[in-house]
Amino acid sequence: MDYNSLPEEIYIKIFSHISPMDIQSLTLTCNYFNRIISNSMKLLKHYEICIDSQSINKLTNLGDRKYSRFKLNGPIDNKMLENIFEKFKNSMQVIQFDQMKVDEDLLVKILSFCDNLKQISFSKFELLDFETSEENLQLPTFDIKNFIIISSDLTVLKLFRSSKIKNLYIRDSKFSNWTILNDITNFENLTIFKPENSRFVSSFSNITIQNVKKLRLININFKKSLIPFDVETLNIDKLILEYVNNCADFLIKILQKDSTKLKLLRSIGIAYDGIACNVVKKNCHKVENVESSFKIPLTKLVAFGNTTLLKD
Amino acid sequence: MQTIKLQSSDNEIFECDLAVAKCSATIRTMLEDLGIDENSEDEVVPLPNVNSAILRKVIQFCTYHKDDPVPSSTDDDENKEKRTDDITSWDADFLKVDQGTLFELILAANYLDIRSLLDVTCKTVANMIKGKTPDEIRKTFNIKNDFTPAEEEQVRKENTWCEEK
Repeated sequence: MDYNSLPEEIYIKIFSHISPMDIQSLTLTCNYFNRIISNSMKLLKHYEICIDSQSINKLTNLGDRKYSRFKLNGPIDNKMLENIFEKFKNSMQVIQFDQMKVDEDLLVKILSFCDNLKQISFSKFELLDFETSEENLQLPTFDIKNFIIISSDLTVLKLFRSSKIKNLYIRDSKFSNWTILNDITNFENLTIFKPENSRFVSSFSNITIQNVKKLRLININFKKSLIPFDVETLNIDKLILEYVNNCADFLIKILQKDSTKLKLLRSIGIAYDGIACNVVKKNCHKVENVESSFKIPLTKLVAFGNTTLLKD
Repeated sequence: MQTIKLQSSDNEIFECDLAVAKCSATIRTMLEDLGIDENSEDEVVPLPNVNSAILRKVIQFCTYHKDDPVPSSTDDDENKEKRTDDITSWDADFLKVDQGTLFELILAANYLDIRSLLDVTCKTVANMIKGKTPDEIRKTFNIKNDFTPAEEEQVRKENTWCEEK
C-alpha cells in the first residue's frame, strides 16, 4: 500500500497536526501534497499574507493557494489592491488594513468581493472621499465575528451599517465622531479601550447601543455628569468596567432601572463615592454575578468609608 | 453477551462482541437504519472494504477501547493546536506495524468510521513527518519527487509568502 492510496481528506486530517514550518516542507515533497495543502484553507490558516511596499514586488510569486489571512500595509496601488481582493475573494477571511488611506468607493468595491469575511481590522486607517453620494454605495452585508478599530477614525463603521458584527473592539481611537455608533445597530459585544489622548471625554454622551449584550470599557475618563450610553434603551447583560473615571452615575442608572437585565458586573480599579456605594449596595442583588478587584463583593464596599477606591 | 458476525473482504467471518462492533459508526448505522437483525444467528455484516488481517487488528483495538468515553464532537475546533504527543503506550505498541498496515488501518478506520482509531493513526503518521526535510519525508514514505525544477522553484517562491501567524 502506497502513500498516494490515502485520499485527500485523510491527508488534511493528518496534516492538521503538523506545524506551519513542517507544512512548508510538505509542499516541497511532491505535487500531490502541494496540491492538497494549496487547496486547503484549513491547513493554510496559520499563514498571514503580508503585503507591503517591499513584498508587493514579488506579488507574481503569490500562487493560487487558498490563503485566508491578509495584512495590507500601505500605501498600496489601487489597481493592485483590487487584483489582490479579486484573486483571493473566495478564501479571504481575515483582513487587516494597516496605515492605509483608501477611497470609500474602492473600499466598498474590494470588500464586496469577499464572501467569507470573518474578521476585519483597521489600524491607523483613513477613509477618503467620504462625502461622495452615499446612496450610490452598495454597502456589503457581512456576518463579521471581530471588527477591530485601532488608532483610526470611526467613520469606516458607516460602511458596515448593513452588516452583523459580533465583537466590536475600539482602541486608541478618536472620540470626535462617536455618535456614529448610534447608526450601527447590529453588534453584540462592544469593547472600548483607551480613547486617543483624552484627558476626559466630553462628546461622549447618551449613545444608543440597544443591541449590545456585553459592554466593556477600559481606561476611559468620562466627563463628570455625562452619561455615556443611553440607559433607557440599554439591554446589556454583562458590564465590565476597568479603570474608568466618572462612571458611577452610569452604573447607578443601570442598577436603578427596573428592567435591568444585568447578569454580570465586573468592576476593577473604579472609584465610587459614598452615595454611589449605597446605591450599588442596595441594587446589586439584582445582578447574579458581581465581581470586583480584591474579590470584595460590592455590597461590602461601603464599609470602606466615604470614598472607596478599588485598585489592583 | 450478545455477539455479531462480521465478514471481511476475503470472506473470513469474525464473531465479536456487539458492543465492540458498535465502536464503528458505520456498523452502528447499518444495524440501526438498514434493519439488520441483531438477534439473528445467521445475520452477517459484510465489510467488503476491510481484509481479514486489518479487521482482526480493528477488532483488537475496539475490544481494548470499547469502554472509553465518547469524545466530544467539538474536538475539531479550528483554532486548537492539535497535539500528537498524547498517544497512550498501548496504542503506540498496537501501531508498531509496517507502513502499509498503518495506511490500511487508516482507510479501515475511515470506512468504518471509528473516530478514536482514525485519530490515533493520523497522529502516528503526523509524528513520522514532524521535523523532517522534504527529502527525509520523501524517504520515509517512499515518495517520488515528481516536480520539474521549474515547479519546485515556483513552490519555493510561494513559500516565501508564508509568514507564520
